[in-house]
Amino acid sequence: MKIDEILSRLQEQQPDVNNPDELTDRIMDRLPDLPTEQPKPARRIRIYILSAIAAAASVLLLMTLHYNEEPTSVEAVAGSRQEVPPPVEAVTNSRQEVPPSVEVVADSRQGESTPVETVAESWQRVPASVSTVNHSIDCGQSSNRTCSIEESTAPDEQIEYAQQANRVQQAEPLPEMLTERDIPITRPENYKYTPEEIALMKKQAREAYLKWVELELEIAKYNQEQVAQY
Amino acid sequence: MIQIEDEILTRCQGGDKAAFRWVVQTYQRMLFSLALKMLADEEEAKDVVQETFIRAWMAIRSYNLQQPFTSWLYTIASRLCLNRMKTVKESAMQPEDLTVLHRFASGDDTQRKLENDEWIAIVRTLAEGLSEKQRLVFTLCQLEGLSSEEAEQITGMDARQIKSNLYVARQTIRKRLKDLGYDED
Repeated sequence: MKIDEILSRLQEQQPDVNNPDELTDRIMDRLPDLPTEQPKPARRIRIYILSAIAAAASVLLLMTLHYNEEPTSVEAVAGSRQEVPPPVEAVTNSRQEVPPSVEVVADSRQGESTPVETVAESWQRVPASVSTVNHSIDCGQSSNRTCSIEESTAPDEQIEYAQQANRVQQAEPLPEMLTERDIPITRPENYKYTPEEIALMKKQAREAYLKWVELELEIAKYNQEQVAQY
Repeated sequence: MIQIEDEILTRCQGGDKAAFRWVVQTYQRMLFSLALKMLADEEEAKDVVQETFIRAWMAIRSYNLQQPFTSWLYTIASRLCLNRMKTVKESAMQPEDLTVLHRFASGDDTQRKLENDEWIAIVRTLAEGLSEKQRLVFTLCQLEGLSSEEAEQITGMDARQIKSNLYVARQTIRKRLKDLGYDED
């Protein structure tokens, strides 16, 4: 027989498994169970984590920039101080308007048998509102606040306020009043941090950010476990 | 047939063992043939078939239905055979192997089906001296009758490598048969 014939005859034949069923059973017995497909972590969780990280980073950046910001200029600070006087003048004007009303009250009641104490009391009540207005200017608050203070003021306090108002009225000219905003240390734009303080703040911000990221990761991990259990 | 096979493979990917049983029954003969011709050992061949199906089952979800399933199985089996050939020492040719080859080549009974022992004897005789790659390419292209493209896909070799390995393997076997007294033309 020729060589090519031998090779072609070999190609026509194929060996067989002696006991195919036994081999099949052997294979099937050894097949492990396929692991159940794990659901992919929800995309929204990933988006939530990324957006939260981005938001936190931007907040930290803004905070850092804000604290490092230098005061713009002396003029700006001075300008902010000059905003206060107009209400003070207004108060002065309102204060000057008070005595005539007292006189009017006194005049209108001269012909009556009204006790002097009543007139004095009525006179003393008027400056109470003035002192309240004055107080409201000091605090830089709105007229609503003034009303509430006025309503809650006890009669004794009103008298004290009236006396204070008298004293203020007599002391001319009115000195410039310092408010809480004028104290340099409480004004953010005047507060200049030292490099050590800035470094400390940055370090604390970084630590807080890392803790926050760890916490978020734990939350995400917990959520994934919960999803996997279902 | 292809549509049925796709349906069954889809069920297998869903973890259906009954469907995979059909796959094992259908393809175990094909894999056993390759493994026996490569390893020349019946028990080793059965082990390779078993290991091939287990690996195929474990990776069935990563199988792409567009790819020929037989090629995928052949790829797993051929790699396992090559690994086993490196670890297991190849059995040397026995004197009685020549008798088996002579009986087969005499052509007295062309319809007679070769037994597995006879296959082992013939393979041991023919493939002696071939490298692992040459043996793999010769088995796939010459004995299993696969095309060069299929052999490329299974072995990962390019066309030139397949061609050269097959050429060297054929020349080696021809020379061997010629030395044993068989006519070349």
